[in-house]
Amino acid sequence: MSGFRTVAIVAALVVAAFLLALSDRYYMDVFILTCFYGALAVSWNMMAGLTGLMSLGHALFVGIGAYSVAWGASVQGWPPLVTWPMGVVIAVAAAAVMGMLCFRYGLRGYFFAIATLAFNEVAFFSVSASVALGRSDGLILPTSSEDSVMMLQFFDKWPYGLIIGTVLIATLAIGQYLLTSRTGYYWRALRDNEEAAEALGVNARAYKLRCFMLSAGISAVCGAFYANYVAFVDPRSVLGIDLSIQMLVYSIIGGMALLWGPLLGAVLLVPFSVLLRNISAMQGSEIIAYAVLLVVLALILPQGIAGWLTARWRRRKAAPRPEGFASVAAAEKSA
Amino acid sequence: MTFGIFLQAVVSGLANASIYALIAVGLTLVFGVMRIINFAHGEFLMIAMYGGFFAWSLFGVDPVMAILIVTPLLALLGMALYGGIVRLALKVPEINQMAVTLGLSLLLQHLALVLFSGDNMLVTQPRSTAGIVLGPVVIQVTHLIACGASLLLLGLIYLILRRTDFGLVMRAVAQSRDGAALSGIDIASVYKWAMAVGVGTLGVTGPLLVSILYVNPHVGALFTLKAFVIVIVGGLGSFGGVLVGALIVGLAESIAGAWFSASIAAAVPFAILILVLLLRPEGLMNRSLAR
Amino acid sequence: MTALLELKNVGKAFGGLKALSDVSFSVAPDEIFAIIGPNGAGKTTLFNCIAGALAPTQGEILFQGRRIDGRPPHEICAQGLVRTFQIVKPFRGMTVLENVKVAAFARHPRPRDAEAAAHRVLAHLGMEAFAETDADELNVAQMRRLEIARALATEPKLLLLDEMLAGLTPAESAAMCDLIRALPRQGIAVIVVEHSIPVVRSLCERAVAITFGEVLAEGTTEEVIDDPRVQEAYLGRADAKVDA
Repeated sequence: MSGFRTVAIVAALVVAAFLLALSDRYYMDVFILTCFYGALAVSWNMMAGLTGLMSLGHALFVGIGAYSVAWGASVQGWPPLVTWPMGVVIAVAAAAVMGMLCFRYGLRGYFFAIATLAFNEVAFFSVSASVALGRSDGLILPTSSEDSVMMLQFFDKWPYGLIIGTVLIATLAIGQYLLTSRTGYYWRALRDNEEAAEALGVNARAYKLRCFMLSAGISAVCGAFYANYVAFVDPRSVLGIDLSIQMLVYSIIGGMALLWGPLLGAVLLVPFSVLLRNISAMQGSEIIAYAVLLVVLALILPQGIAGWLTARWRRRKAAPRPEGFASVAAAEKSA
Repeated sequence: MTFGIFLQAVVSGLANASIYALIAVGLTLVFGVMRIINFAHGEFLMIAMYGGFFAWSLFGVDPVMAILIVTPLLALLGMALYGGIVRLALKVPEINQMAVTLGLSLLLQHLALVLFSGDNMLVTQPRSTAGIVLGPVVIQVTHLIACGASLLLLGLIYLILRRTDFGLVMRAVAQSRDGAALSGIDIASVYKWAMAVGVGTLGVTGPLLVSILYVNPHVGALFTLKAFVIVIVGGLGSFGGVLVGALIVGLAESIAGAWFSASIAAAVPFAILILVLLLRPEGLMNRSLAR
Repeated sequence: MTALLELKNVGKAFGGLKALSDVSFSVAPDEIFAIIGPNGAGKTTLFNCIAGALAPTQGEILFQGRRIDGRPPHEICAQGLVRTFQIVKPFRGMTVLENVKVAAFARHPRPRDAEAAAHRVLAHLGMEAFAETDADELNVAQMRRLEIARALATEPKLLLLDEMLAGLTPAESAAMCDLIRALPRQGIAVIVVEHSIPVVRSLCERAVAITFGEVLAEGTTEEVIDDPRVQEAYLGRADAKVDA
């Protein structure tokens, strides 16, 4: 299957990038951030690009993952072995509840986006008010001077790169598996025309819900990773709307119709913004740069860079074949 | 909570509601006519607030007078927004439309950060601290001015939509774009003017608001979100709905603020939104702008 | 023979407005049945009630002896009743094969089986050459054919066709009619909602005529079309004769 070949190539590139990044802590940091945002954007796009459900509240699930780990570690002393699954379970349950409520009432498009945003904001302000979760000051994870595999605490950065690289590749593999299965076809059918899909036997609510829960689960894993990597969480960094917008930015710029499109967006933009942040004295210059990119590309290249590339590639492949669409159509007419 | 505090919360809530209503009416006008949600709406409010602030700090113009300068500028900005971006955005899928206006919102916020720094700025005049005492309740003069101006402008917009040819054309386009086009209405020009009015109203709100509330580059985002809540609670594209939505949000927020902490109060509008989306997704006032 | 589909006193009201009232008729397993009536008679509402897009507010709809009224469309599809749309609704982000494959998944959960089934349907309809074409690039006639291909891929016992001939050239219409005529032999009953009286005459054994949401006449196609009340409903005067 050509899709799996693509995932294998992408996985090989991720491994190669990891090996290259081993040479330098700074590169490894960029690699880790790219994988983190890449996996998040891919999981976000499973909803938006593949199923047609645009969430503006995905930071909520990242936040649930991150706060599960941070609260577990700093207040209860629980290891990631307990807190990661806990975060995922809570996030998936939250998505199930949100999804059941939203889909039951047929919220779509703008309405679904703003409903998810509202859930996110309620969580943001509630956490900001919660003493147990450190209010808006956030939570600092306890650290010791020794490396600890049990607590996912390492002095070197490469073990973190290994973890998030694995998460990214697993996300792509799961996504590709689903895309070739009935689930993936049903998702795309729902995106293209919900009414027709239902008439052809697709249980719209169930399949949307499944997509939402899976996407939330992956986002929670990323959030859990973030908490262990940065060892600090606060509402702004893991529950803020900026994080949700970032997922959208990478997806739109990379290309939403393809599984790996958002990853391409992250690969192009994350190192770019790190670089800009370092060379430019101007505060927020990287955000200005990609806000401009976002506006321009969303208008002139609606299918994103990946979509544009594959369309070109397909056209080139199709060009030398003499019996193009027109002659097939003619044959049909004469038949 | 004593009755006095409650009354005070109600009064501030009403004042906020009138300001919110004016902000939300621009958003819903644009949505009603063009079916596009402008996520950068609050950023234009932010620009208007800076306009009011600098008119006062650089030229000593009273914020009430600054309205006369800032409003036409904002209306022009709205037209430019239509001509430069929204016109093109109408041709791309809904998700891309959201991306475009979200991108614009990010862009304006961070440009403002570069130009004006992240500092909080506020117009302070002798009347800033003045208040009218009515029994247990104090009404700030600046609130009173903003509230009065908002109500005045809301009434004016209502009359324009109801009584003028321009309003009729707008309502026609809101109801059926194709039908309006068939009867010879220039859709592009209606869109342009809807955008001019939608953004232009912020030119009134901005200068008045900057006497009440600090302006900083991120102030707009909060208002965009609240305006969303209001228009969805009221029913997208509905004028009366905006008033109801603003009243609910303004009062609930203000009362929750007196009762609980500020964070909880900030979450209240969104909790209301969730409830309304789930119970009555079409909004509380299910009448469109067109009717 | 027992009825495949049976409507008993079906009614549908939108608020206070009655779009359908007291509609009853039945369809046998091997026939082509027509629903006719002037514009605004309630044909589409009736169609949507049968397919599950709308829930009737009164009466019962039985498919193979089981009640389906008020069930969601995907369950009705699973039971073997599938519809097409008058305004074609292809999945525009997919190829023709993928479009049909989505439908085939209703009976074949495994991707390989679904793909094989989709290929069979496409070959049967003479569309194999388009398998890899983007659905977006098809012309109107091809899109209608794709609608039927998708519907057939769900392996239905009853197919509901909504104005399948609208906008087609005479040659395309004739080809489509041949296709529909062959379906009962494959064990698929058909209900058509159709405007053109000649087409109904040539295609259908039995018909029901409705106007203002009520059944005007039910019986063989000839009886229904020749019924003076039907003639009047169509043309607005009793002495006119619908023919052509």
